[in-house]
Amino acid sequence: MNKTLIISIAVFLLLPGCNNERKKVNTLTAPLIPAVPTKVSASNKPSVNVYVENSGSMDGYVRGITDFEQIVYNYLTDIIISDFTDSLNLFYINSDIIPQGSDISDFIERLEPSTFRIRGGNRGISDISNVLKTVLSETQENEIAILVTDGIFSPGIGKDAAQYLNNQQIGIKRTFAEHLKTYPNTSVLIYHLSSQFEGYYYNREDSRIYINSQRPFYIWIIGNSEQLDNLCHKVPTSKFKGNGIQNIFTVSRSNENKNFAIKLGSGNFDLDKKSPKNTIMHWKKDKKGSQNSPRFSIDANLSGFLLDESYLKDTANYELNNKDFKMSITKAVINNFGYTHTLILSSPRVQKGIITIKLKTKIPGWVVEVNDDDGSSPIADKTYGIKYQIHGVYEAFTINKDFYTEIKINIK
Amino acid sequence: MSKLYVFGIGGTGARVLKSLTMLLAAGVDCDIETIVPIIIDRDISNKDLSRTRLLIEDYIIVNKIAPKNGRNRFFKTRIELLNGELCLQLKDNTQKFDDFIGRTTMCRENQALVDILFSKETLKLDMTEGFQGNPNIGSIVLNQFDDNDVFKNFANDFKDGDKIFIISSIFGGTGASGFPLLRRTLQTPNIKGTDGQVLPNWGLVNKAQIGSITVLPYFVVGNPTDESLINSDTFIDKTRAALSYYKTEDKKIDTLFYIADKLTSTYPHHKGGDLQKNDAHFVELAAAMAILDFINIDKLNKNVHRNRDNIIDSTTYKEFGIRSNLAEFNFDHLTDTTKRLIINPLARFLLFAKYMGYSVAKEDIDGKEELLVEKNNNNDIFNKEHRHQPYARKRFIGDFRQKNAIQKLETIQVRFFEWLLEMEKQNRKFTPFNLFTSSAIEFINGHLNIIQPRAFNLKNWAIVDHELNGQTGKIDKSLENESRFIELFYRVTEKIINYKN
Amino acid sequence: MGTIYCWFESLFGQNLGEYLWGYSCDTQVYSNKNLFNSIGLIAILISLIFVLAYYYLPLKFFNHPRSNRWWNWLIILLLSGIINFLIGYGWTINDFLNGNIGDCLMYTRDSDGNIVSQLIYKKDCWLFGLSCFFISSMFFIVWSYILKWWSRNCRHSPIF
Repeated sequence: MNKTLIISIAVFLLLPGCNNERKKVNTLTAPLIPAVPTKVSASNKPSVNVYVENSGSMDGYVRGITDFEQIVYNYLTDIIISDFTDSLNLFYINSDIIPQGSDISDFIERLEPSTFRIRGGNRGISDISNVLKTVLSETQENEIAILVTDGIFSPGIGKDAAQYLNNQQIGIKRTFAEHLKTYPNTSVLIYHLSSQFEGYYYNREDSRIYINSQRPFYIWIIGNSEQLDNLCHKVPTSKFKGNGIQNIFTVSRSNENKNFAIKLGSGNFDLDKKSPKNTIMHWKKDKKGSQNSPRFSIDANLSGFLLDESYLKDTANYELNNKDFKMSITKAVINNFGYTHTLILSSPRVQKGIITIKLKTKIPGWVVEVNDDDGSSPIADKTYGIKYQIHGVYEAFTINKDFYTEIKINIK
Repeated sequence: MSKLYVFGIGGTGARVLKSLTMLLAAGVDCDIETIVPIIIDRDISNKDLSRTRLLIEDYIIVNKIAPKNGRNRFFKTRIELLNGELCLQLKDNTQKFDDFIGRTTMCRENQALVDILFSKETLKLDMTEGFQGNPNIGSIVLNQFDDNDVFKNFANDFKDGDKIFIISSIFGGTGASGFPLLRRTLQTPNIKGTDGQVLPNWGLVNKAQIGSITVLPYFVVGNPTDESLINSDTFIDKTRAALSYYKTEDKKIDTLFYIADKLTSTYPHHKGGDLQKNDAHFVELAAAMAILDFINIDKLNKNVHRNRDNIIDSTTYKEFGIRSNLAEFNFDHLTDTTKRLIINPLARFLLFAKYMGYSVAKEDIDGKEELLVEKNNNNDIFNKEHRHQPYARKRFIGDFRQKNAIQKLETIQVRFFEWLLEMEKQNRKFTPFNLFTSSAIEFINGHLNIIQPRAFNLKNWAIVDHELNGQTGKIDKSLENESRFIELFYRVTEKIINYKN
Repeated sequence: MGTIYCWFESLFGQNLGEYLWGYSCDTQVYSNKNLFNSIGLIAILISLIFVLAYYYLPLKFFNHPRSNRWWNWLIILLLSGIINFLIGYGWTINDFLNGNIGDCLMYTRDSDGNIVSQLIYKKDCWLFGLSCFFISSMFFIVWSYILKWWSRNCRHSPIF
């Protein structure tokens, strides 16, 4: 009877550990590790979970004091001090997730190859698709995931590299597509950064070369679009240390419910009384000014897509269904409706019908430039297979629609 | 369908017929549909006669267009001229009396008798100007009636139920002598014409209801001149003499009306002809009322007393009077019967005439102030308003007023004004109206309640226009414009003027 | 109603017109009351009252045999028009001065929120009043030709 009770109690005590079976707690070697990692947010602020890849190929970034450490330290600190979150949780990640508490300075101090090794996990393989899958599975409502990685694929020796890369791409796509089903308002932001790297570079066959040079690394930020937008405002790219952000990739799901309205007085027309925001009537040539081609403007809220100003103002990123129309974009006048930009459309002559303007999603050009398709040896400023990762993410987000938002205007 | 044949003898006959015509124009109640006036006068150039003739001719034209089926009463009674002639043309134009009686062809004994009976002046009398106050002459001359084909047309026209009325004066020439002669002729059976045949329907004529009015003196003439033999001093004597003869008329006439006025006016002394134009007198109007009384159905039992054989049982004698013996009198002073008969017609017709622009004004002619009836543009309300008022729209515009019937109507309106003005000038002044005022409603003298109440916002002629616009829609649309015009104005004047007692 | 008033929009300006249509700067749709309907209804009623009075009221100057000239009718038309002018002007100037007209209709502002130009002026209110005058006169004419035929004294005023 007594024995049964003790066993029961012992089992009881061990049960909480079952919930965390994915995170193996190495109680022997890891000091200051909370028994149960907490990921609780004190308020509506999201919690931030930071995953630093600790596979072998990452050692070179953390040997000594590097830009990598500076950048990451600074960024995480900024996140905290900007009051973006009250809860920031640190992890190492390879095939496993290894919690590292919440103390950023301690975390950064300990960023050394030795710590990487001690912390464990299967450091030999960089299965990025799996890593992303793991990260996403840990990311729930009101949580932001930040993944710091070198982004280098490691197919392994004797593997079909090309097929591997494709499979990775597909895997990534699928992972994100699944995640989007549950969390459709998710966005992904990838910062391409650079740091001094002193250590072994593992090529596609896992052979290693010792190098000491600048190497790219990537910070992935995954989470709710609004929260990511908020984060970007609170910790803008200009705050990054080191060489700063080299390139950015961002992708969000299409949101066709963005607020827009035709600007009263922006041309010679009447607003439709029933649908004044998107329908105009009696459109005529302009009476005022030297240019008298018929025109009108649309105020639109183009925020929330994590796009920067240059992207939004570049008319090449927009697709109009009617090629006769010319468009220019300016910042919107201060308003209470959340409009961020004003689209000015003109046409050589009065036309009737539906005009659609799509803000297109794009894979930026740098992705191809930074991509190393070969992977046999390190190429300066390039990453083996980065293109496939980004494509995978991109495709997941643009399965149904390849635009961020669409504005439809009816001219009667 | 019956007719009344009115014989008007001499100047009085003509003037009474004129008054009767005025009353009929004004729409007085008349219980007979057609009146046939016949004037008997040797003095065919008599101005009174010509005035009456012109008036009757104009009346006939207007009567043709006057509506008979609506409410209208203006010009309702028909006046018909026998063979188109008003005057019974006496034969034999022999000028001098002695020629007429054929003295020169008489034997010496008869000549001597004639010389005893008639004075030299009388024998030399030129009869073309009437008998100049000599009924003795007139009686001889007028005795030709029974020889006269003149009655042939009358006889042909006469029907069962027709009536006869004779107007004559008991003073003067033609009238005094003509009345009994005419009456005798009409009641003599089997009178033959010149063809030797008995005049047709003469039996009906003999038996017809017959009335007469004898107008006793109501004016005097000025002093006799060398050219005229008329002397007012002999009037009363002559009246007495004639009256004694008329006693024999008793039971020969159904109703005998008498009228006279002691308050006489003095007329200019003219023996006849073009200058014998006497102003109208109320007595003539009253005499005309006698005719209306005679044919009044309600008074038949009083006026006519016949036995079973349709022989006159007794003659009814009737006189006329007003309430007060005033030198100047108006409607207030008339009896109720007279008021009921003439106030509404006269006032309504006068209102009509005033609307058309007529009034009396003082004019300076040869240094003398004269009263004239004229059309004053300021007072011509019709002219001013017909372009604006709905009642005239599309009907009474353009040359409407130039149409013959309308011109005749306006002529009669002028004569009507003149007739009223003449009656005001007499010594016995009949002044029911203020003929000078341009007011639409303040033109009736006296204190009788004649004008109907009206809306407070309507003043003066606007009252009439308002009524015209209101009545126009109620009139039969099939009426021609001229007929509609008369019907409309009758209805309107009836609405505005309505005396009741 | 608004369609009729918009024939005169070139007089009083599109922005005042949008305000009267009921455009709300807060919602960017026509969620406010359509004032054209209110003002238009008043114009219809006032012109109707004057027409009925002129043709049927038994008073001097109205349905009177001396008031059936074309210029009598014109005076009443002008009277009706002036009243509507005052209503149109008064209504809009009141809103103008009380700041009831939305900012987006009143002014164009730059990106910093400074006024670049003013879009509605007092004169637009006068001109709107004038439009009301014309429109009520139109109604007056229409009502006249519908209702005058039974008038006792004035049915051929002004013409026919």
